[in-house]
Amino acid sequence: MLFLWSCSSKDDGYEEFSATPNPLKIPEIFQTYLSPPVIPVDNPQTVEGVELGRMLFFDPILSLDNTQACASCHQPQKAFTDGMQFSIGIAGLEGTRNSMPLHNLAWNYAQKFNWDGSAVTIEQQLFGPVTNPLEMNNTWPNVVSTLQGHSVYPGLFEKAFGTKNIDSALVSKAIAQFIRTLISADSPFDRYLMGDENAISAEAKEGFNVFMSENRGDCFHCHGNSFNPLWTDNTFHNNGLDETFQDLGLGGVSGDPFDNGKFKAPSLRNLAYTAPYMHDGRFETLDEVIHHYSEGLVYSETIDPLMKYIAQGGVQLSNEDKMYLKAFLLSLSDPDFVNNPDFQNPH
Amino acid sequence: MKKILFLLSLIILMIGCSKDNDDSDESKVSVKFTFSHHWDGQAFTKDHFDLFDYINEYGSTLSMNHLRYLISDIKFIREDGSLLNYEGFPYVLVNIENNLTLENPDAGVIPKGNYKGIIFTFGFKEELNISGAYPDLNSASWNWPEMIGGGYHYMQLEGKYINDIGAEMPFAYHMGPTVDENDVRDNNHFVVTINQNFSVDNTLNVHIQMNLAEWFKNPYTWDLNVYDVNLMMNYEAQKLMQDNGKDVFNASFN
Repeated sequence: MLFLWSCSSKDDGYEEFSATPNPLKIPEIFQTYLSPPVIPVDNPQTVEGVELGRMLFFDPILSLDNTQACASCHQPQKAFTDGMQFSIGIAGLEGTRNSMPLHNLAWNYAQKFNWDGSAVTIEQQLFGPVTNPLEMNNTWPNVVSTLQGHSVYPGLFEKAFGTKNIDSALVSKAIAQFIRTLISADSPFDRYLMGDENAISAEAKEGFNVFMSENRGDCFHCHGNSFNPLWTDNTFHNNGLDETFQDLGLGGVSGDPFDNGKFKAPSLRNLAYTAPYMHDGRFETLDEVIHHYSEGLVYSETIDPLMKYIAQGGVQLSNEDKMYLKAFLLSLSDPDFVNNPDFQNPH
Repeated sequence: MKKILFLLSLIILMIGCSKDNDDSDESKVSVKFTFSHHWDGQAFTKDHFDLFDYINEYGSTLSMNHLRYLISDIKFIREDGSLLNYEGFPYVLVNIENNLTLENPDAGVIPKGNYKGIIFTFGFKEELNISGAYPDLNSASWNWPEMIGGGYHYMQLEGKYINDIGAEMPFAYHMGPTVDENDVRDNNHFVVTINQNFSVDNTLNVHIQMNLAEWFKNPYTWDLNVYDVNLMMNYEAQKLMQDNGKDVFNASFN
């Protein structure tokens, strides 16, 4: 006890750094139905960390020529996608996959990110785009050096992490903290689930029945349900897009040929803002997506057993059911999310 | 002031710990559960996914690539026949792709002594099978549609088979509550009883084994050509699963 007393004496002049805790504001529907979000113990949410992360997210300083930020391909008004089939990097080169929306990532319990599951944390995911020649085409030593020489950033890093000595890990941690705040849970369908019977149309209600019926859409096995309001299972499926694969997806990461052609089932939130669809952005409209599952499935060896009507090309929805399903899907879009002032460019 | 409070806390903690040490209960042991799977004695793991190495009782060649199932309400049968509730976890969603060993060293302990077996529920009993009640199961997308009974899945076993005309077809053997033609709900769970004498002196290892082949036989020889997909909404298929499931499990204790 005496040892501890002497160690904690203020006379040593030692004060432990701590940023201001800033726990995520968890929506009621998530509190009710979901397990707590995944927050790494070495990167807790703080006011200063989120603020720094938001500044970095919207700052083209991360790119080699200072022209492209994370937000260039992940725009708030498009639910953090960019509306393009493939994003264009600073070298004018096209990427190979569609920009993924960013919402509710703290509830990805499987902790596999990107279309192919190649990143196992949000922090890890952030490293790739900075150095990818098809994206920001920079090096991390260059990023760190640029930030270190900036008139403002060293002070912000000190507030967030207790040090002015910037490194790539701290950059990634800050941006990850901001990304975890991107929470979407106030769509019309969410309000309907929380008791507002008038929040959605009769067509959307019937569309939910199509979604949940095993002999109609049967969408829920991969894309969640009213008690899993993430609207994704966050796992990987071959959903019958191609007979052969130019992009192996999960198989390219695992090395298992039985994983070839499998991609992450995305959340169905905010589809009104995130066209085009699929890992390669091949479908420009929701009508095309619904048509694919209804009549457009293509057999391959690794096709998911849940694509159960592959022999007929799909679930064969009636035109009426397609209309209802589309209405339901659009009711999962959250205008407050894309307009949230906390998620806009702070510069 | 902070230092004083810190020191007081430390003193109280040390006294508390000391007291615990004096009162430690050495008559109870921890229980460790391990789940494994086989096809009529041939081990089946995620390394065997997608391999068309299995022939069911009907004669269909099949592969499997997805298996999750729920067991709950575990009880140990004491020597005198009375039942001891296992408090380590009220239910477990077993996923063949994840860690198949479970232990709760704090609450999951049982008294030393002699036992005659184990009982558990496959799925949930009706009073526990409440839609949306379990956040971890919701987060795993384990929910069962309200229109066919609500609550939760009991099992998802998926794969492909070669049908009677040689075509490769999918199957999705999903089990849960069911609804008959009059819209009357049937919870459709079943209780597994494994009778085996064992003694508990140190950590008890309970090894629960599922024979996947048994889902396709005993008493019903499962014809995938008839029952392959859309089984969740198929009352007859759900009742046949319930019958076939009763011989699926075995267990060993050491």
